[in-house]
Amino acid sequence: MSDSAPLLSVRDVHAYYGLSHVLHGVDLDVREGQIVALLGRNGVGRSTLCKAIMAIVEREGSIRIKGQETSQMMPHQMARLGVGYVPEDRAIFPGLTVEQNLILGQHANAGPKSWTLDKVYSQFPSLERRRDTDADVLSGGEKQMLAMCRALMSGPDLILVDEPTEGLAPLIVEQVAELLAEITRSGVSVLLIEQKLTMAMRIADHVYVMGHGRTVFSGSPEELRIDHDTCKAWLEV
Amino acid sequence: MDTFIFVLVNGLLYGMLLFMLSSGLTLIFSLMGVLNFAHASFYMLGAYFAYQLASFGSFWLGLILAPLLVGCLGAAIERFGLRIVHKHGHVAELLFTFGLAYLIEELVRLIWGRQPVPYRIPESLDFTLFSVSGIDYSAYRAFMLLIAVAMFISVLLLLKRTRVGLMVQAALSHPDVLWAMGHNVPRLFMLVFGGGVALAGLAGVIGGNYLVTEPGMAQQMGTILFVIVVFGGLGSLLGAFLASLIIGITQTLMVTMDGTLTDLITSLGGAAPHATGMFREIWTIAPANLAPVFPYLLLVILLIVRPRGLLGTRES
Repeated sequence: MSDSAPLLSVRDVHAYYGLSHVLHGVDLDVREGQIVALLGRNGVGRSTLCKAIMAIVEREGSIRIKGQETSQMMPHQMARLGVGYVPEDRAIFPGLTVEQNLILGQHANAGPKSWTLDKVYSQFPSLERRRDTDADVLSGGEKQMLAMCRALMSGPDLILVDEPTEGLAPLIVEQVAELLAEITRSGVSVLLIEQKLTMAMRIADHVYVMGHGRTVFSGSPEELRIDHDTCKAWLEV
Repeated sequence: MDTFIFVLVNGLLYGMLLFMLSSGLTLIFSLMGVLNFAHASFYMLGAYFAYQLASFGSFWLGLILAPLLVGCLGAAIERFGLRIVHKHGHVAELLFTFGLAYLIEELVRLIWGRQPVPYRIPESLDFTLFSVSGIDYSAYRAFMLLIAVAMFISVLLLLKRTRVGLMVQAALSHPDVLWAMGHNVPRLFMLVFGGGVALAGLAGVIGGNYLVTEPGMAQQMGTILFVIVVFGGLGSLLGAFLASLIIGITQTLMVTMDGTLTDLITSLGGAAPHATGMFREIWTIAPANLAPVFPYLLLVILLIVRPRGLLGTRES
């Protein structure tokens, strides 16, 4: 792992849904230009961690972006600090066209890395062909690409991508992996929550495993591969 | 035929006035999940503010300033009241708006008294615009229709053609995601609440002098308003529009009908019902007397046949 200061630093983070205590002290770092994969079984709190980082759920502990403490910030302030979010269900806005969804991805503090409509359409011609179509009728793969491009329209330094390959065909999964690799090459870091271990381990620079609402493993994909105890206890079904 | 067209235009006018109120209530409910029991109170405040401003200066001053004042007051109530109560759930929100309605009504009684205030149609619009078959159509009615149509087109353009409109539409389905995309959603909620009640205030400004400006006006309008939003389908703007027109036009038509239900049935070519038995009195009732009950009857029937309302997507 690089010695540079982390872009995202999460320390002893707790999160709650009402009275339900979901995260019990998570520690995690994402450094510049990295893809960090967050693995674990369903229900261990990985999506909640994304929401906690984005301030969508009630949270405690320290979350620093580029060294700045954000625990008192609201979601729009997190986005304006350079954090993009692609939620698990893609959350495409129904009733709005593909282009309107993309336009809403831009905000007042959009960074220099922000994608333009031209860039999105050159990368994904199918989105250009359907630019005036209600985004809700796109296929699952197109919706995923749209959700990721929408997050990139604000020029984030870091994007949190929650289960991007869920329900997608193998060919589309490869496209998602390629897009994530390209995003990282352009200088955007990625925190990837993924169920497909093979894909995640192939593209990730660093891996965390979560269990019971806390991080139980931190290391490289190679280190995880040979750590049979962790794999058996926290990843195998 | 001329009379029928006049009644239809009057019904359309009443329907558009109802839509001015129901559009804001529907938008606020769709976006924030808040069924604002105090919505009609802002209609009343619009009328009283306009009356006060008209007594200082002119009706036109009230037309511009009263909805703005009501909107600002609504935005402040959302920011410093509703937003705090929101953390405690929808029941707390409902109780808050319920209490607010009573508070506004009592304040109005305290400031302006229990009797109707002399809020009059401006002299510049108090004349007959045209007459057909001996029936006069006042310029003020045409003015009200013009304002209502202008408001309808403005809201439509705002929602469909502006970035704020896109944000409102996006927030209807995924407010948290829109918020996490860098848009200040709480501020958007405040603007929608302020804008929604400003529309109600505008309806009060132009309706208060056409009807009566008195402390009971909010309660009278409030019940019919809830019938409209439930009838149209909770959360559906188009449904609220259709329901406003249907109720506005049918109620106006019924009020102007002469004779009894039996006369109505026979004039439509039906056979006169046998006026015997337990319910024989029903056939002697005049449709005009049924007009106030009609919206509620329509609502009950619709809720049995189609619980989600005309165009609603959810049943609760």
